[in-house]
Amino acid sequence: MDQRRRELLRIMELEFAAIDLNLFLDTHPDDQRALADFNAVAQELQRAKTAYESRYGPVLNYGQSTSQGTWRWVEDPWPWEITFNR
Amino acid sequence: MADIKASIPGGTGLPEGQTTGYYGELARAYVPPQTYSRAWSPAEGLMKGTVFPELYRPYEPGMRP
Repeated sequence: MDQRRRELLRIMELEFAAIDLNLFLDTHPDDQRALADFNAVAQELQRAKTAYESRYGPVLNYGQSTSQGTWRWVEDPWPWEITFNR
Repeated sequence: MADIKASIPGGTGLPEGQTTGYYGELARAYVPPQTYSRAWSPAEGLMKGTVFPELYRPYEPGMRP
């Protein structure tokens, strides 16, 4: 797997962990250990997205970063064109 | 309409002669609260479908309920 796919897969993994902890915290908002784990995942996710976007372009159409020069959101490849053969 | 009373084991809880309305308690669902132990790594969680070991219920090939 090339570097770009590795970084994208890492974002997917962190997104999944974040939403799973998100769902647990919805019903256990005072659980400090879960909260600490969520915060650690959220921070690493933010770093991973920022690093990915600085090299390859936006991971979100808006709400995450600006687009310099041209509208980079429409650049290839689209998410469904990326395969993860391991 | 078929006799509802005859089809429900233990009766319906309805007054004599009444065949529609509240049937009494057929079942009650109970889900125990989840206690946080630890989370799997994000990589392991994505592959398994949950980051919570206590929620992991894999279906194995050939497994019967």
